[in-house]
Amino acid sequence: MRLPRHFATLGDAVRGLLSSVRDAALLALLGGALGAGALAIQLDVPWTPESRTDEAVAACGFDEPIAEPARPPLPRMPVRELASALAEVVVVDARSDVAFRDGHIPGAISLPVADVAATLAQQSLPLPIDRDIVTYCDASTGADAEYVGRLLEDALGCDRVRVLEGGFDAWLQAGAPVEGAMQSG
Amino acid sequence: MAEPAVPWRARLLPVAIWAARVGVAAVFVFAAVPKLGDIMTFAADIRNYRVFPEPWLHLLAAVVPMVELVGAAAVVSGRARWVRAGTLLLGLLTVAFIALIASVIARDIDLECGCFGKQAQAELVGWPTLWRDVGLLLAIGLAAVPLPPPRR
Repeated sequence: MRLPRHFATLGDAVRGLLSSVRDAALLALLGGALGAGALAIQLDVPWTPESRTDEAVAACGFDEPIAEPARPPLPRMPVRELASALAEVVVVDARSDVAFRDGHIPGAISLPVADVAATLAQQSLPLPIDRDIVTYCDASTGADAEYVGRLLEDALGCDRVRVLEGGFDAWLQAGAPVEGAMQSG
Repeated sequence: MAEPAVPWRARLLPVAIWAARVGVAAVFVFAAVPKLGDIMTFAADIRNYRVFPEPWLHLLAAVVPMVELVGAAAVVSGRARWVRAGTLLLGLLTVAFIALIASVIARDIDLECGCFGKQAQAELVGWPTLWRDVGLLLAIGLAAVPLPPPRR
């Protein structure tokens, strides 16, 4: 077997490989430690059990609540899964009224992101809590749908809310059925 | 006395190796930064692959992009030892990505890649994603080639 010129013998080559594996493991450990630190910062995890409370009390006073750590995003539901489960879930459209009238997922309930907080404060929601809820919006990131979904989750007290992956655009691209003006025109 | 002409392959090889190293590092930095900026969203992307247990999602979402950054830095460090380690690390990571993408294709799951965070247009996982990662693996292989000693 022909070895690269910087390895004189097979033993050299094996030692070189083992050394690279060890160095790669060191790099992975470094990345892991830095990653864990980045996660702790984003989750606002206290570095010591007492320090966070003391700092918060000093900064905010005794009556101010300590900020809650960030919540993980709602689970996503792929277009294909929603298309085959339309009858079993409640679909909530977080886009504007105009966009909803133009076209929406069949059977969807309109709950525009701009009005949702006020709507939830004023009335109880006609949403069954025994069925999964799927929210969607125009953005592929699902930012508005995520926001509406969070408020619904809080209002209903259940964790059965999911966000449509890729939003309404992904639904249209998949050629899934649509209700509204888009359907007739 | 005139110096013997250097074959064009010998002149091109270091340039190609360095181009591969810089290119590979750029791809991984470009992929890592947006994911680190929004670990929660990347955790949701990882969840959609339906492979990893729930308690590991956020740690993975934080560690993977940081390992990508550290590996990228090692690849362009110019030190042979760390270049070897960096290319080995990024190579293993890319092999893992390829295996994950292949499993998604095999299971016929419809999901967003999340490979470059949420900065780009939503990209569905499929054969183009897999071939792109195979190309990246080949570039990592070229980046791992030791530079020839400088000619005097």
